[in-house]
Formats: sequence, C-alpha cells, structure tokens
Amino acid sequence: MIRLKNGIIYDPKNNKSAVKEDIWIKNEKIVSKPSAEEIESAKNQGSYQEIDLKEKIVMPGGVDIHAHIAGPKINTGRVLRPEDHRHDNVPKKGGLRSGVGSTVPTSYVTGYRYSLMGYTTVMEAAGPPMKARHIHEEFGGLPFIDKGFLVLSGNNYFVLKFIKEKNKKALKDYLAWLINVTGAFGLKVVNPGGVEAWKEGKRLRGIEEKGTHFNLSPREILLALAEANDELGLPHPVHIHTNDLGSPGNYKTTISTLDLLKDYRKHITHIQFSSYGLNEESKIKFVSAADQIAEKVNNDDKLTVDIGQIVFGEVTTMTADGILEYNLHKLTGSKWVNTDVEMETGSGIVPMNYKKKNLINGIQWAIGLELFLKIDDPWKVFLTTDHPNAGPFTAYPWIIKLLMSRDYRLKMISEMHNKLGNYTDIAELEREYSLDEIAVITRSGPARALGLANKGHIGVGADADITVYSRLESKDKIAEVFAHPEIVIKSGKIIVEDGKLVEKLREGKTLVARPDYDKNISEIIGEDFKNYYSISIENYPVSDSYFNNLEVIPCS
Amino acid sequence: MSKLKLILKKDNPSLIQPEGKTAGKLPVEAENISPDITAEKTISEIAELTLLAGRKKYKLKDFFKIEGEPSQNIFIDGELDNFKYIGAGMTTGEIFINGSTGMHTGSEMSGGKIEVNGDTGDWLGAEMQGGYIKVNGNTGNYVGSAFRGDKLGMNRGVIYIKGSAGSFLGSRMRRGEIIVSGSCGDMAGAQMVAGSIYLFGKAGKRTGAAMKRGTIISAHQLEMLPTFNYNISYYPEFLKIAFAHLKNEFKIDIPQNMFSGYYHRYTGDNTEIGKGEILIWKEG
Repeated sequence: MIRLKNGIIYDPKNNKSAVKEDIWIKNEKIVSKPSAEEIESAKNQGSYQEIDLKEKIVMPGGVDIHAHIAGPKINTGRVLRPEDHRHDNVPKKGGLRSGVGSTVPTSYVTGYRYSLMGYTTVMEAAGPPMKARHIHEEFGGLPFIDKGFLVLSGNNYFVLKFIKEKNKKALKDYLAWLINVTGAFGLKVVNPGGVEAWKEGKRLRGIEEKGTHFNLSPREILLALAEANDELGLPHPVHIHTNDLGSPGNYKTTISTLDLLKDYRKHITHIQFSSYGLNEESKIKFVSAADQIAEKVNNDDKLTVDIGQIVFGEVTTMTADGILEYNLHKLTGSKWVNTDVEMETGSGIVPMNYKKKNLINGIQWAIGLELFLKIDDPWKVFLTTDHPNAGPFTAYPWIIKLLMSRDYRLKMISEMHNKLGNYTDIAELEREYSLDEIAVITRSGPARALGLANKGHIGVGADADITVYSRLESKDKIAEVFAHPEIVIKSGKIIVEDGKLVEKLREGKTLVARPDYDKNISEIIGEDFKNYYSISIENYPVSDSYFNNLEVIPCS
Repeated sequence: MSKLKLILKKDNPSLIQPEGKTAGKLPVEAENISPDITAEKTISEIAELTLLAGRKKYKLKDFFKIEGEPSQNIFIDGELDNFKYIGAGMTTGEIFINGSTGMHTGSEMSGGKIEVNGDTGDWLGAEMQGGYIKVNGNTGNYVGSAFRGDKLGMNRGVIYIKGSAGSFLGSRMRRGEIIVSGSCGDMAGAQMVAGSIYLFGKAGKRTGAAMKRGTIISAHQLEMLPTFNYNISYYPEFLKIAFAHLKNEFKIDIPQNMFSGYYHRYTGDNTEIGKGEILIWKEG
C-alpha cells in the first residue's frame, strides 16, 4: 500500500486541475482512502509506504497512441543503421540489461527511455499479421511499459476479397479472427488499396481511383473497414494512415477521407504528413494546409488525430506504405529497404535527416505545430512524433515546451529559414498550452481514444500508473521537467526514483482485444490459405505461450 | 618541450599466457590515450586512466611505465598492434608511437598530429575531421573511410602513408588528402564524395568505383572500370600547386618524374553522378 501525499494533481478526466489530494495505491490499482484498520494492518505487515511529494506535479502515466517500437520493421531498421547506435551505448546496470539508443533503440532501451520520460503505455502502430509472433517476442523484451499493437489490414488479400464480394459478415469475422489469432489490439489501415497497387507496379492517387486486381477504390475499402470496426465494437476506432501521405496537395485526400467516414469513429494518425497544400505559383509548390484540416477536425465529433510532429535531426522513416518509402529513397538517395509481406501488406525503411535551415522541413515542422494550436479541443489531438518517422519519442518534452511557450517557438523560428513566414502563420499564433491541456494530449486523450478505461486518469479503480514531475519554476525549465520526472509508478510499483530507473526489470502487460467471431471463418479462408500462404493456417495463430502478462480490453 | 612518455611493459594484462608462454593478445580499448585527456591530468591521475582489455577494466599503469610530465605531447614506445582507438577523437596535441598500432588509430580526430613509426591496423583516421596522421610503415583497410552505415568518411585532414595501404582506402571520404607512397589494395576511393587521393605506388582493382566527386592521382597505370570516360591527356597545372603544398607543409616526398610528363584524365563513376576524376601519369 502506497500513500502519495501533498501532490498537485492534474487529472483532466476527473476534472482535477491543480488539486492537492492524497492518492492511495493498493495491488496495482488506485483505491479510495482505506479504513484505519487496513492502514494499521498494512503498517504491521511492513507493506505501507508513504511518500511526501512536496507539492510536485502529479499526472497519470503517459500514453503514446502511435509509435513503432517492436516488430520486423523496427528490427530491420536497427540492422540497417549501425551508425545510428554507435555513439549511444547503454551499459548494463544492476538488473537492467545493456542496449543501444538513438532513433531505433533496442527493445530494452525503448522501455527504459519511455519509463524515464514518465510514459507507461505505448501502442505499436503497425504490425503485419504474419509477423505478430515476432512482435510478441519483442514485447517480452520491452520492460516496464504496457503495450499492444495494431494489426495492418488495409491491403490484406482476404479483406479486399470479402469487400469485393460484398460479404460483410465474412469480412467482420475475418477481422475479428485476425485480431484474435495475432493478439492485436485494433485495426490499422495504411494507404488502403495504394500498397496493393504498388505491389502490382501501379499507382493510385486520391481515394477514387481503381485498377488493381480486385478493382477496388480506397473509398470502398475505408468504408467497409470503418463499418466493420464499429460493428465489432473494438475499443479503438479504425486507425488510418491516409492515402497520398507525404505528397504536396494531399490535404484534399485527407478531407475527402474525413467526409467519407463522417458517420464512423476514426483516428487519423500523424496527420501532419496529411496536411500539405499545393501552390503551383510558389517556387517550392509546398504550403501549409493546416487551416483546412484543423477546421475539419474541429467540426467532427467522431474524429481524433495525432500529429506526428517533425523534430529536427536524424530519423528513420519506416512504414507499411511501401510506395512512400520508394519516393523518399528517390528523393534523398538514402539507403533503403522495401518488403512485400506476402498476401498482407508492404513496408519500407529510409533514414532521413530533417534540417532546421531547410525550408520544406521547416514548413513541415510548422504544420505540426499549427495543427496543435488550431485544433481547439485538446481531447481530439494527441502528441506523437510517429517515432521514429518524424523524430524519436525522446523529443516529446521539447515539443511540450514548444506548445507551452510562445517565446521558445519564436526563438526556434528565428533560427530557421528566413522565408518560413511566407508559407505558414505559425509565428502569429499566440495560444499556449496549459498543464491541463498537456495532460490531455499526452495521457488522458490518447487513453480515451484507445478505449483504455483504466489508463490516463488517477480516479479510483484506475491502474496505478503515475508520473511525478518537479515543480515548474519557470518556462525555460519545461523540457527538463518533462524529460526527467522524479518518480514514476507503474502498476503500483515504483520504477523511477529520483529520476533514475530502479535497477530491477519489471514486465509490463500486453493489451489485446478479443472480439467474437464465427469459428467457421477459418474454413472459409482455408482453401486460399493453403494455396497462397507460405505457412499453414494451423501454424498461423500466435500461441498462448507468447503471452506472459495479458490484459484483455473488452469490446463494447 | 615537456613530454609524456609511455613505455609498454613486457608483461602486461593483454597478453594471453597459458603456462607462461605468450599465445596471443587481447584487444585493448585505449581511447584514453589522447592528448586532450592527458594534458588535463596529473601523473598519478594518468596512471589511473581506464583501459579495457577484453572484457576487463585495467589501469594505464598496468600496461605502461610512465615517465615525463603531463603534456599534450605523448611518446609511446612498444608494439601496440592490439591497442585500438589510440588518439581517437583528439582535437589537439601530438602522439608519436615508436612501434605499431591497432585498429581505429586517430579515428574521428579533429586536430593535432599522430605519427606511427611502424604499421597500423584498419580504420586509420576513419571519419577524421582534421589534423595530420603520418605512418612510416604499412596500414590496414578502410584508411580515412566512413564507419559502417555512415554516409561520409574523412572530412578534412591529411593522412600520409609511407608504406602500403590495404583495400577501401578513403572510401566515402568527403574532404582532405590521403597520400600513399607504397602500393594500395583494391577499391581505393570507392564511393568517395570529394577530396584527393595520391597513389604513388601501384593500386589494386576497381579504383574509384562509385565515386561521386573528388580526384585520384596515380603514378602507375590503373585497370579502369568501364563506367569511366577518357577525356584528355594533359598536364594539370593545379598539380604543381598541390605537390608544392604537400612538399612544403607536410614534408611529403613526391616522385620527381610526376612534375613532368602528362596525365590521362578519366571522369566517372557514371553509375553515380560522374563528377569524379582519375589522373594517371604517363611518361612523355
């Protein structure tokens, strides 16, 4: 039993803003104040601990809705980039294992650095179904944090086949079966139809074009998946990486996608990459379309987005959107990897460097911040860098500083390309985020969007995931305060004390959803599976031995 | 001038000695032997500097007899062919090694001078940012090149090898000069981005493969790749200036006959942007 006293609590979900209250923790959960006898008996057993927080900032543990932290893609990225790790070595310390860091850290270092930053739940954003076993194996070596993964389904052969046959029941059953057998948490849709076209050597623009084997437009795929996702009642809405991502003028595609799905719950991820305007008259043909996108987000109650904020410096772009990575490789001349995951998806990896003085990179940076500042409701917009695509997750504290301090923004702008002002109005935006709003975009909001009722708040019954930051003495200190929380509690156990990791590995939980389905589906897909897959359907499901510490999030 | 002298002990922890006989040597990571570090410390602190032999930590005094006084000028005596990273990352000062050194000597250094009176291992001056390295013996592979995965190798600085060099000399180099008096292995200047390589001895196969920009000057006929174009035979006047600069500033011996005759000029590699040049000396 732990009593945290004299903390200043920021808990937006329970409408607590700078409230001084005691927090009681018992058996991994937050509880209401126990009776005097209970406290007495805990004291007698020696299991009672009291921590005086001395008016420090208390928030729920951070929740990252979109990061690439485990699986074949990130692993290939590690192999591709020996130079990324050479200067960032983490030695073994006590019970903590060694590793390397930088943009694609090893699994252990990923766990350490998220914990040291006060994050306790992270969603791996894209897992190819065939490689689910690999993801769960890496989850086993990803300490402290709770994690789950979203399974790629936008270019899956069976998905496209059932949509083409207009067989809604089979589609639903297949998706539910897929989530169950891969141990996934939700559905991820990456460039629906576009990756399949790329694998056939074709290219689709917008959401209306057709021309692949199944002759489906992205519109039909998106609609069917959003509908199936809602009917299955999955905790998380369908998680969409839009078509045409990264190309100038793609904001029109994003808006037509949002119009198309206006009746369904949806989460548009790293929307910064989908908010690019096109100006034929300007020399660089690239402008911000954050205004149009922000207006759309403000008027859609069934929509949440995360930003994918650009961070200047080295990154490793990796996505299931194979054609995007091909374009990036052609653009930068960097080394690259491209993969065809049999019947299911594609993928690619290209290292990049976002430069502060580069005008295009500067506009991308400004678009992310514009969206943060122009979307009025913080419950709709979440902090991500699409780690490691737009920047490493370790940059979150500096993004928080950009959001909370206009002076810091102006200082950054003054160091960037001097024509930046012609393409974006970021310098004129005066809004500054409050601590409450930061708590929403980094924890409560993502937890709500993921459907995690026990995360992202400190109410009675919540998981005891708590982060304690030192007091915010001045605005200059924002980044340091958020980068180095003093105490982090995960599932009722202290994992960070005095800003240092406790030298004992602890395993977090794996979050999964288990929607119901008609068992008949494995027979329906059995024939095609036998003919076209490289493994048999009997060997396809991830066996229970891979799940050590499982939490099933109920479907509605 | 004050000098710090390190004399390798005959009996040191890096030797593998089952039953009293030396059967081999453990690699020693010696990045602490650098003028930047020794100049700031007292003799007793220098004696306590950490060196890793295999997986165990030792102190500098376990390996070396230490003489002289703390200085930016280090003299090392002994066969250090199992010592890695000597002078790595140094920014100033001087190291003279009377003997051979191992891998990564002077890698990522940005200033100062290293002279090796013996041979060196691979990755000599890899990714160096400035300074001068002189080797009186032979060197291994990847002199002045980029480490695995990196885009750019040596960026400024001069490396002078009196003996011969291994393969991948100056691969991916970005700036600076490498001069080899002896022969060099295959793939010299592979993927080089810019800079100059002077080959006064014979070179191996595929010299300048996938080079983007930069200049390779060879005193002997090369087996040219088919992706290079022959341009012209002439005497490039800039060479006189370049040779004079090497001769006067770095005391580098230039073969006398290279000041006359003419040079065949080739450009390539056309699989890349084709802006590199290879100049091959001809008697004439």
